[in-house]
Amino acid sequence: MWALSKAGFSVVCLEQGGRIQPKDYPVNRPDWEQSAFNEWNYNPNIRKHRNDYPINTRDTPIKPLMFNAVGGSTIHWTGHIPRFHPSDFKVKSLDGVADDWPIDYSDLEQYYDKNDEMMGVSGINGDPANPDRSPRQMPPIPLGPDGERVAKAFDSLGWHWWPSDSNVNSTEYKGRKACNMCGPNGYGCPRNAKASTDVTYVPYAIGNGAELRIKARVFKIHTSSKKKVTGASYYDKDNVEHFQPANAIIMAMNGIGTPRMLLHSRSDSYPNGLANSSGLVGKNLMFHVYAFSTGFFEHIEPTYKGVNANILMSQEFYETDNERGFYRGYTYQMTRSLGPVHTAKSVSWGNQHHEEFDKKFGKTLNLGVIGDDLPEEHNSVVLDEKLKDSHGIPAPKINYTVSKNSRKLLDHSLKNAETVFREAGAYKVENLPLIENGGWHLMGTARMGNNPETSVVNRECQSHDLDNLFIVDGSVFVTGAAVNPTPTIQAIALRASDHIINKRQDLKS
Amino acid sequence: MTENKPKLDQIKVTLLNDIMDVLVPKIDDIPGAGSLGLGKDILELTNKYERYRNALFTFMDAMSLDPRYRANGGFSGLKISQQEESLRSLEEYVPKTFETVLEMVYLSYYSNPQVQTRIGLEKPNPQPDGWVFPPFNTKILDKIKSRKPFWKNIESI
Repeated sequence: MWALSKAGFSVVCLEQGGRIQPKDYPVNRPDWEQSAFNEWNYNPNIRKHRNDYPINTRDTPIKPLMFNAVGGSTIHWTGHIPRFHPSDFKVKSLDGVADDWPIDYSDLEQYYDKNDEMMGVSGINGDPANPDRSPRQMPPIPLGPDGERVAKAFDSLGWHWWPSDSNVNSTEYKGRKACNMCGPNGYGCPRNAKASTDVTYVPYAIGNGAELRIKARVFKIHTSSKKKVTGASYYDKDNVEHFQPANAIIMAMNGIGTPRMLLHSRSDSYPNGLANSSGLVGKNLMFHVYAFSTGFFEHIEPTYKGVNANILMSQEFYETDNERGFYRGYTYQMTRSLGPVHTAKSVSWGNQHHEEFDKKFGKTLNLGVIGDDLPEEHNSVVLDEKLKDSHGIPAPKINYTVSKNSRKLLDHSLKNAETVFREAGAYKVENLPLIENGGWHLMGTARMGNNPETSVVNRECQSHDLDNLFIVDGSVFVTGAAVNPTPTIQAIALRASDHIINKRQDLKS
Repeated sequence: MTENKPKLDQIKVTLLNDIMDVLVPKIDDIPGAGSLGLGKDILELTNKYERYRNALFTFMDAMSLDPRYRANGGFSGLKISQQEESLRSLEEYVPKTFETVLEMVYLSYYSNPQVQTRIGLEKPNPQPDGWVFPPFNTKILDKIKSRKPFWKNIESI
């Protein structure tokens, strides 16, 4: 939206959600945890906003999470922006599993840099686990005494750690304030210190002349007989139906919403859905598998102070090591504790409640494990035969199982997390083997590739079947790596924009 | 929000308060969640959120079917161990409903200023004050910076 409008394209963005004002974020209020479990829940099936669509999650142990609003899930994210490693693009060549991407790290590097400049990164160069990168815009977010404690534990073990690259401002950046370390940064930032795209890209795009239509729910993409898309039909906020013609359509509806819309837009010419000659639309869904290890400490500054996530990470176990018995690896991300109700929900009720609560509240730290979730065709998004959204559009149904490889990976990670916490002085460690509400990252369901028989889009994110249809969300990922996907999605989108700009004459014809 | 909300009768309100006292019992000079008078907060939550309302009514209906409750002059007539046993049976029978009701009880209980003082919660609102942290200390990087780059270079592939 930003790059194309800057290049002079006439851009109309149809956004399913509304626009949320920072004053309405729940962390402004003492009952913020009530909102976090309800209207600000990450899970659309619980949140049930008018702008959301239901998801059939009966057959998946991991529940998909998303947010529909201007800024999308970046309203909800914590701003953690690790990059893919070069090896993540060559998994088949290196490890003999999954597939290689048709692009590599060097293709994306300049776009990662451009995105960093737009979003603003707090961080520091020199991480030995990653290729060197352009200077960070701001110094790292302070680790705090608890972060330093964990960092020293990694040091003592001789294991890698590094302060997280973060899209949370450590100083003022582009008119947005510095973070004041309030804590729960996953529920919108009233200071705009967190770089959600509604306060980074979108205002610039609108300044360039792009038009943003909110509460516009697309329900069909139309095609011509010439391998082209011609426009999209949508409902506006008053449920009035419209058709928006277009020379090109760029989809960014996430790894579940995009295949849902492609499948739902089937026609006589495309009976299996759009862009689906390969039969792979909706297949190979990847979430990232998440586990969680919690260390209990006796003498520690309250751990609900400071940014909740996005403090430091470790990639000691990132690459494949055949002796571990699984392919690929994982990243540790340190997180702090949240409010009292979040804590209470994780301890016993009844006569043990207060004792367990008192040992846990503000006295625990966590290592979240984000594991590489290799693609498997049976993990999929399909259209549900019965469940529909408020406009009668079929809901997506998720079919997903955690692979043996993922389970071995997570078990390995939890054992090592306990070692870290013991080294840091924890007297007790609790492990959560799999986070059920952990489907933050939605990937792989319209994968990119050079071969139209085994992929949905080409290396420029252009549909193999429809020349003027592009997909620029996590759907196009070939593998998921073991890092948060957003900066890679953004880099891919910027790269696709350059391609579209260079080929603009083709789109007009 | 929805209209025509069902209401709990006084008997069920009393039962709810008794149950809340078991779920979150007395500590120090703070009574249990029911005796603390949080029943009205629970009802406010059920007025605000449909999922809470559905969970609470399912929960209360299921509770009143428990034979231990019916045979012993009501929930309050049971020993504490029997009350807990009754609730654990219910937790097993309708786990999601039970979890949702528990969430409501905790939301009410931990919003109470007396409780917040006991647990040492300094500020209930994260914003606008936040917390003061010293700036990042680069000395902490000395050891890890001495490690040679170990990311896998794939240029040869």
